[in-house]
Amino acid sequence: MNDSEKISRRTFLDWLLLGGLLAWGAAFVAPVITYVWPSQKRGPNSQTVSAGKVDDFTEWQHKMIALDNKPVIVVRTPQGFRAFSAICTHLGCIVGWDAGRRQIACPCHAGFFDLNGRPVAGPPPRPLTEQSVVVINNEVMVKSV
Amino acid sequence: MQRLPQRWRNVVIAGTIFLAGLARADVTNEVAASVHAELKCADCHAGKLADKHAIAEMCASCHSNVRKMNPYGLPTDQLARYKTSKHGEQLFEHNDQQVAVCTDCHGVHNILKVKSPQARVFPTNIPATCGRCHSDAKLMGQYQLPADAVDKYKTSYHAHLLLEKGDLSAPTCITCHGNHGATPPGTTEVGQVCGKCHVRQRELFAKSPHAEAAAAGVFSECVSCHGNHAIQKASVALFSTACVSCHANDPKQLQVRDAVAGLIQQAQTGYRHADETVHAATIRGLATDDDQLLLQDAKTQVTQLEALQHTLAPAQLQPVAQHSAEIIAQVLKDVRHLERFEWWKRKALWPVWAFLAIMAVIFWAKRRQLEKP
Repeated sequence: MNDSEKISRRTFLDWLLLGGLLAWGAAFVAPVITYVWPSQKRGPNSQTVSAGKVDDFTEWQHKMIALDNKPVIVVRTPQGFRAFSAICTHLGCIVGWDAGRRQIACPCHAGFFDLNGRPVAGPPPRPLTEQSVVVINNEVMVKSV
Repeated sequence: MQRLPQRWRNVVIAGTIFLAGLARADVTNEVAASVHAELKCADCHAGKLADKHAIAEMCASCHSNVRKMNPYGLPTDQLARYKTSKHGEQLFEHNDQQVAVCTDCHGVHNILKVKSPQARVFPTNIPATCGRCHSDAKLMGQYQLPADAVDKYKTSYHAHLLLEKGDLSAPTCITCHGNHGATPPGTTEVGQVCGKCHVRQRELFAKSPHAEAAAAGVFSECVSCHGNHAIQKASVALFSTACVSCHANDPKQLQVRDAVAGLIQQAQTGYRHADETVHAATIRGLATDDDQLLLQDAKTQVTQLEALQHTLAPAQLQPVAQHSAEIIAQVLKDVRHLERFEWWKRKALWPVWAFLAIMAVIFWAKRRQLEKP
């Protein structure tokens, strides 16, 4: 490297300063950009998840899925699919499916809910919250309400 | 009165008529605001209401009439049920005029619909209505009945739910004793009464060694451990007081107690610890969504254990306790993992701080350079 190509201390310092200022500026601009063009990856607040293919369910078969990080029970009835919050309205246990009674059953205190989510036996004071279910391209989609 | 001068007699008569008018105005207002506003005085007062027997029959003249009650959707068996109650037996078989009849509980001219919060028979008012007689020590003494049942009830968990939490489904006096057919449940019937709400506990109790003793009438299904009117929210602490009342000198049975209580306590403590850990991690901003879902499952296992204890069979509790412990271990492992990740993220701040420090040094060097001639 000859003398003309040699970088002086002043130039080196200027480059460092410019690089630092650019990094600093980027740190200020980045939040503005993410505010104006927010990330689309997270999706809407109301989550929609797939409970599987229609053919995965036989009649009166049920499946447990997680929706908005809460358990949801999906049941296939002769009239179609129904989905309810799987948290018992009594003490918060996770409910299951009683195939014999064809009702949603809470294992903790024998609370039973019908296929409209209404409590029909035991101590649960309120109905289970129903979630909306739509079938799109043979896929059972459950959406939180 | 005859001895009074005519002028004073007139004053007394006028005063009596005035007071009677005021009283009648009160009665008229009460009836107008009551559920019987459409009735006329003569509908009830046509005959002489000489005693409580006559009052019960007068009320039943409408309330046992299916045609009259059908439009209101009211039952018509109240008098028949009343006659099977302790109150009804005393009145109709022993002509006891002190016992409660329709008007003592529902009111007289001011009867309101049962669903009205001001009604004497609205759930939150039931303890006070029953207490009007059943807290009267002098009256209860005549029947060798305790006068502290209502006071005890007010200290109970049931009363806490009803009177403080406003849970109208919580039991009152009539939920266990009945209303029109009020009769105290016998030793063997208590379980049926409690089992109307506590269905699962009763099913599990039927599998326990105590079920046989209860069927023989030597052990009161629920009352022996939980008490009756002053019933408290059950906790593991109950094992240390209830069991020893019968099994104080029975080390074998106390071992079973310790095993059952130990499994529940361990599961409850583990769940509480995991819940607090996840809660704290969530507040710190860690993504604990999956762990909250797992915690819900752990809570289900712990709540199931609390019901399963009625079997008094450690072998039945063991698998549920084990499952609960596994979930809790998984949750704690996840949170530790998140915390480790968070630790590394914090460590990643060092380069940022170093960058800021270097920039400060460069600025200082540049300033010195510019200040040089």
